[in-house]
Amino acid sequence: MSERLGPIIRLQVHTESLKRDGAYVPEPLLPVDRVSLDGSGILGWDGDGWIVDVHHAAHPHRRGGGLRALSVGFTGHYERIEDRFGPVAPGIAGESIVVDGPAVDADAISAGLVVRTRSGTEIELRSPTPAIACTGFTSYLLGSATVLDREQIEDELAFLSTGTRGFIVAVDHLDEAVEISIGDEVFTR
Amino acid sequence: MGDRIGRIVRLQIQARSLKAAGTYDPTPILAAPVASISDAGMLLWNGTGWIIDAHHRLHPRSRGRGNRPLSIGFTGHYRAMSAEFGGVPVGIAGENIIVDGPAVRMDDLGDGVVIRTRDGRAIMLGDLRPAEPCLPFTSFLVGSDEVLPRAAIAGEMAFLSGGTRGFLATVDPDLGHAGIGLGDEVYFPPR
Repeated sequence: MSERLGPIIRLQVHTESLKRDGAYVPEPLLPVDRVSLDGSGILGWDGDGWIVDVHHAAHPHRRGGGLRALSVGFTGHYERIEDRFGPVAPGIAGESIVVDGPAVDADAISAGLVVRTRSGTEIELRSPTPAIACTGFTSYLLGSATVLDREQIEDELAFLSTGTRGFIVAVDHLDEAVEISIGDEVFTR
Repeated sequence: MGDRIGRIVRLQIQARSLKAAGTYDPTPILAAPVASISDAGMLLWNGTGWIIDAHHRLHPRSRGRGNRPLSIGFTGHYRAMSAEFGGVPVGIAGENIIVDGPAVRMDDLGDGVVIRTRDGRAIMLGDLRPAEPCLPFTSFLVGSDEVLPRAAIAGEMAFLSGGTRGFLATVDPDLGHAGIGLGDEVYFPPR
């Protein structure tokens, strides 16, 4: 039985990598009102044109080799991150889609996610996999000006890496471009 | 390097179709100093991110299905168009790359052109062929608010054909992504 998780409250693209010399820099995150999504990745509409996400096949400095085209986060996880690290802005981890919903476990969404657009179109986001937290992002959350050694932050990395940091989802089944907007609803599949 | 043609004076993409409403509307043309080209098409750096051209193979509503990935025009042709139609702004036809150079003809471009970037990279644009003018663009140039029938503007369309309206081009897939910028120089290939 499909379960409603909540509405999309943030959509964003990485205009460039969020890592410089290993350090986490969120400045290239660009929030948009709608994205276009297909097997190549996502594009964000900035009012003038489609901005290419750094994980998209068209990006000149593509990251992830097409294996991390899209990610999804939940406000419930951001609440947990805040409890542990202090205030953070929803979306700071760089997920493409942020849902105002509970801190779901990987098992709860193992069958996938479905975005239902306002026009009623249903878009499958397959194979959610917890995004593994990196030392750069974790150091950033800890307020460190430098990237800390993995051994120093093992607990924090483990805390973030079971879905708290978001989920990578597969979209390579999308042969045609589809659009997702703020306010579209997300369900379990 | 062969003879110099001129420097790049305008880089632009079509954020969406210029003919969405049937008539020609140049509003979606966006220009900026830096672009990235590949065999799939062109991206434009707008200061925040890379905007994808409507002819890029991966644009969500790709025009030409990626078969017309790049286009190039010359200011010499714009001078000719201005003389024929009245003031025609450089780039209004929507070419990706505008070169401040003479009104070259197809016979001159059979071997392609080479862009020499500021970092010394040489980028070959090949398979050049004239972009054929369409009814909406030609009607726009003659100042019509509506798209005129072909018979009414046959002479103008003939004038724009053969390269005056610009040229389509491709790059080698092995190029990967190559950055180009305003001021880069364009040459004929070495003979």
